[in-house]
Amino acid sequence: MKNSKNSRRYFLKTVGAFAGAAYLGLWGIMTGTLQKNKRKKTVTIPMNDNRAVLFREDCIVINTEQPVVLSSYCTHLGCRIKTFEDGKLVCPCHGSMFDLKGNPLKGPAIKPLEKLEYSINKETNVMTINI
Amino acid sequence: MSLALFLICLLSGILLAIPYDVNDPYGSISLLMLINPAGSLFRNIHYWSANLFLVFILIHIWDHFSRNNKINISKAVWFRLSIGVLVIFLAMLTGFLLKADADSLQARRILDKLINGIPLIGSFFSTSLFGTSDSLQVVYVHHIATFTIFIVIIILEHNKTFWPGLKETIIVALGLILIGYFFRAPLHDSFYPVIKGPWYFVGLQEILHWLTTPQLSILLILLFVLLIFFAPFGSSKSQFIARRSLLVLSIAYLILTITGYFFRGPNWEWIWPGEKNYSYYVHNPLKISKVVFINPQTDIDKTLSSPDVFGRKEGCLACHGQVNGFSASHNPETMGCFSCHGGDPYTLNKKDAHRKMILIPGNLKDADKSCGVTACHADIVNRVNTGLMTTLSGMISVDRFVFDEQNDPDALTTLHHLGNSAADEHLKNLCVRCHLGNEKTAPGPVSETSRGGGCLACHLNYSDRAENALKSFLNNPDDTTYFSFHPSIDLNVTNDHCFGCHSRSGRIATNYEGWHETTLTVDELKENKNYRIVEGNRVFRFVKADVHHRLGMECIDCHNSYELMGDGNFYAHKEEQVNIQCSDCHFDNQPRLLEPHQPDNESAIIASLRFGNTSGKKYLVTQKKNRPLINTWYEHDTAFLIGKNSKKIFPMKQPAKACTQDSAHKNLNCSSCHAGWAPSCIGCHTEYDRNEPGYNMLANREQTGSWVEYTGEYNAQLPALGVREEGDKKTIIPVIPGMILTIDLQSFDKRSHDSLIFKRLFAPVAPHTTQSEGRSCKSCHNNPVALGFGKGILDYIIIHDTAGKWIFQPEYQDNIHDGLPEDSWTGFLEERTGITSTRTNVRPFSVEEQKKILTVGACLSCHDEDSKIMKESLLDFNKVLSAKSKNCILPFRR
Ligand code: FES
Repeated sequence: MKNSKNSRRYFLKTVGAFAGAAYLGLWGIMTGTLQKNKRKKTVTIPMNDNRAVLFREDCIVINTEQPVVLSSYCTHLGCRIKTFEDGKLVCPCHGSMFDLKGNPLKGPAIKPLEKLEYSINKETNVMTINI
Repeated sequence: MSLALFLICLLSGILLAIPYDVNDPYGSISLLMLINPAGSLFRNIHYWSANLFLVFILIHIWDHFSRNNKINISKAVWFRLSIGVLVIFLAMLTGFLLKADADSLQARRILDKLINGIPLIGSFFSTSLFGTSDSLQVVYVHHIATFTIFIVIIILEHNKTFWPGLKETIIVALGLILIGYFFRAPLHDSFYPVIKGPWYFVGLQEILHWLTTPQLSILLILLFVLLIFFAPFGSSKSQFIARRSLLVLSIAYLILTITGYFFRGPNWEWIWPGEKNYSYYVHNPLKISKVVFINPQTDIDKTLSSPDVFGRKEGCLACHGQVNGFSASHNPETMGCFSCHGGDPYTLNKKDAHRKMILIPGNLKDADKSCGVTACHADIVNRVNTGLMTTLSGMISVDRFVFDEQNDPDALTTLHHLGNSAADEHLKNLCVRCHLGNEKTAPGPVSETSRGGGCLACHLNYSDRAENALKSFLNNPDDTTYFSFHPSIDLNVTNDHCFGCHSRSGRIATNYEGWHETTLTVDELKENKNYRIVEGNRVFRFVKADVHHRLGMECIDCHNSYELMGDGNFYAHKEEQVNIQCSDCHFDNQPRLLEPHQPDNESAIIASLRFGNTSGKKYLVTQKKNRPLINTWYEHDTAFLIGKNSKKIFPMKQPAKACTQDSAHKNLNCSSCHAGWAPSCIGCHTEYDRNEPGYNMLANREQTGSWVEYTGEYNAQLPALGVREEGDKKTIIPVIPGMILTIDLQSFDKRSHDSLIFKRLFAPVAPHTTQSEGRSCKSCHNNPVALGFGKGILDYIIIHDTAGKWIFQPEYQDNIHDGLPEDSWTGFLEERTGITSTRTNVRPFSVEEQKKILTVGACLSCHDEDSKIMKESLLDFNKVLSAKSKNCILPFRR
C-alpha cells in the first residue's frame, strides 16, 4: 500500500498543500489590503517667491518661476536624496546625480526623478503636494 | 559555539523587546542607550552575538565544503538549510532596519524599491517582508518571530539539538558581556555624510552601484543560494564547479566588501586611508564607548525632560539644557549640541561624551564635521576652501615673483604648497597669518588681533553676558555661569570681523573708516585727537572716511556671500573674486534686475533669513557675475539699499553727468576719480636675520631666524593711476606702490649669487576711501604722483612763443638700482616694459599716454578746470584744439 493514493501520508500531504495554498492566498489578501489602505500622504509647504531648493522627507521642492516638485526617491534604488552640490542633486547611496529638473546626469540612475503633482493656494500661498 | 551565540542572541533580543518601541524606534533606542545601562548592554550583546553568529555560520558552511566529503543529507533538508542561510541574512537585515537611524531608513527605501521592482510578484513580496513604508510593524514581527522560528527549526533539523554545551555557553556569554560592555552597536544620525549598509551588504552596495537594473542583484543572490544548494549533490564534476564558483564569488564579494567599507567616502567618492577625515567618513562600528551606569534619580529626569532632537534624545542636552545666546537657526532645542560639537551624544558619562569633541567648531580643519555636514552648509564649506581668503594665491604668487622664484605673479597656488624657499619662508614669517584656515584655538570674541578661525572669523558674536561669563570663568574655573551663555553664530557679520586681517597690507578696513597707518610709535604720540591706537600698538592718523562709511554702511552691505566665501572657483587675485562694482548700484539708465523668483538658492535663503519674506522684490544684480544683491531692490524708478545689519534704507544715487556724458574719461574706473586717498609706502628693505626671534605663521610656532622688514615711509595721498589691459579693453585704475624694495637674498642663503634683488612694482588697489566728489582735473593731469613719476615739481614752461615744455624735478633721489626716483613707477616721459606691477596686466602710462595727459595738463595750467572751454574739451577735445587761439601753446607736436 506504500505510495498508494490512499495512504495516510498522501492524505496529510494533500490537506497540507491545500491548507498552505489557502494560507498563502489569505496572506495575499492581507498584504493586498494593507497596500490598498495605504493613505496618500499630503505635504504642505508655505511658499515664498525666492528660488530655493527645499528637501523634505518624500519630496524636493525646486522653487523657480514654475515650481517643480520632485520625488526624493532616487530612481536607481529609492535612497532619499537630500544633498545639493554645485547645483546638482546627489544621491548618497550609490552616487547618482540629477539636475534641478530631475534629469539624471550620472549613473547608476538612468531615469529622471518623478515629478509630483502639487497645487498652490493663491490666498494662503501654501503648496500642497500629494505623495 | 554558534548555538551558544544564537541562544544568547535570542535571550538578549527578548529582553530588548521590552524597552524597544516600534512606533518610536530611533527615539526609544537613543533613550535606552542613555538611561538604561542594562538595556544598552543587552543591545550591544544582541548586536555582537548576531554578527558573530553570522560569521560562524559562514565559516561552518565553508568548513562543510572544504572537507570535500559528500554531505550526507537529504535534498529537502539541504534545501531548507540553503534557504536558512538566506533567512539568517534577512533576520540580520530586519534587525538593522529596526534601529531606524539614517542608515536604516535609507536601507529600507532601497530594499522596498529593489523588491518592488521584481516583475509580477515584487509588490506582494515587498509588503510581505517589510509591510508599508511608514511602519516597522511587519519588519518587527518577522525579526522576532517568523525568521527566528525558521532559524530555530533549521537548527533543530540540522543539528538535532538546540542546546549548546554549558561550558561553551558560559565562555561565550562572558566574552559577549565583555565585548558588549566596551563596544557599542552603531546608531547613526542624519548628519553623517556617508550612507552605508550593514557590513555584510556593503559589497552588495558596490554591486548595485554598477547596476542600472538593480533587480539583477537578486538573481545574483539566488545564484549564491543555488550554488550552496547544488554544491553537495550531483556528479563530482558538477560539485567541483559549484564549489569553485562559490569560492570565486565569495572572494570577489569579500574584495567588494573591503572596497566599499574602507574606501568609500561621502557622495560615493573614493577615499584613501590617511586622507582628511578618513576615520570620520569610513565609519567604524568598533566605537569604543563603554556602558555607563547612571544615577537613576537625576539622570533619568534630566534626560526625559530634555528636548527631542532629530527624533532622538541627545545626552548633551541632559546636562547642558539651560544654555542661552543662540541664534534662531542654531537653537540646540532643534539641532542639539552634537551636530556642531561632535563628541558622543549617547552617553551620560562626561568623559565619554566629550571624547573627540570639537571645542571650537567652525575651524576649517574640522568644518566638514561641524558646519559643513550634509544637512547643513556642506556646499559653502567646500567653496570656502577655494576662496582667496583661504588660498592666499595672489599673496603667495606675488611674493615668489618678487623673490625671483617664479616668472608670473598671477599663477594659481594655495597655502598648502608653501615650501622652504626664501619667498615661502618670508611669507611664513611675515604674511600668512591672515587666512581662514588659521585655527582659532581658544574661546573668545573676534577682536582686532583675531586671525582666521574658519566660519567663526565672520560669524562668531559674543553677547556682553557671554563675554563676561567667559572672562570670569578664565579667572575662576569654578564659575560655571560660563556654561549657560553660548556665543551666537549668525549672519551679523560686522566691520569688526573684517578688521583684524583687513587692517593690514592694503588696509581697506582702516581706510574705509578713514584711518591711515603711520610709522609713529605710541610713545611718540603727542595728541590723541586725530590718532587711534590699534591693538599691537600700531598708530593710525585720521584722514578721511569713505562716504559709504559716513552714511553708516558696513562691509557686507556691498560684499556678498559669493565674494566672501568663494564661488567654487580658484582665483589669482582679489579683483577677480570680487564681483561687486560701483556701477551695479550707481547705474546710468536702466538697472540690471533679477525677477523675484530668480535668485539662487543661497541668496534666497540669506535674503529671507535677513529680511523675512522678500517676495515680490526685484533685486539688482552684479554685472560681472550675475549675483543678486539681496539687500537692494528697485521700485518706482529708484533703487534702494538696506543695511544688512543696521536695516537703514538708502536710496541709491545715479552717477553725475560728468561721469556718464564725458567722452574723454570713459575708460576710467570709478575709483580712479572717487578715491579720496590711498596709503602708500616706499623704500622697503627686507633681509633675513639668523638670530632674530621669529614666528612661523603657518605652523603657529616660534623660531629663531626670520625675515625682517625695514620700512621707509608711509603716506596717505591721492593714488597714482595705471592701465589695466584685458584683451583690447584698457581701464585706468588707481595703483599704489606695491613693492619698491630691495631684498638681501644672501642673508638667507649664503650661496645665492645674485644676492640683492631690487623690485619696483606698483599694485592695483581698491582704496575704499570713496568720496562723492571726484578728484580735480589737475590732481591727475598736472600731478606727477598720479602719472607715476613720484613726488616732485611738475611744471609747464613756455620756452618761446610757439613752444612749451614740461619739466619734472623729483623730490626723491634716484635709486642706484634702476636710476628712477625712489617713489616713482615710471620715468618722466619714459617707457617701462616687462612686468611692472604685481599683475601681468597692469602697467604705468606709456609715453604716448603720458603726452596726452600732459597736453590737457598744459591747457589746465592756464584754463580753470571749471571754465567753459575745459568743459567743452570733455566732450570733444580735438574740436576744441582745432579752434585754439594763437596764445595757446602746446607741449608736444601733434
Ligand atoms: S539609490 Fe540613488 S544611486 Fe542608488
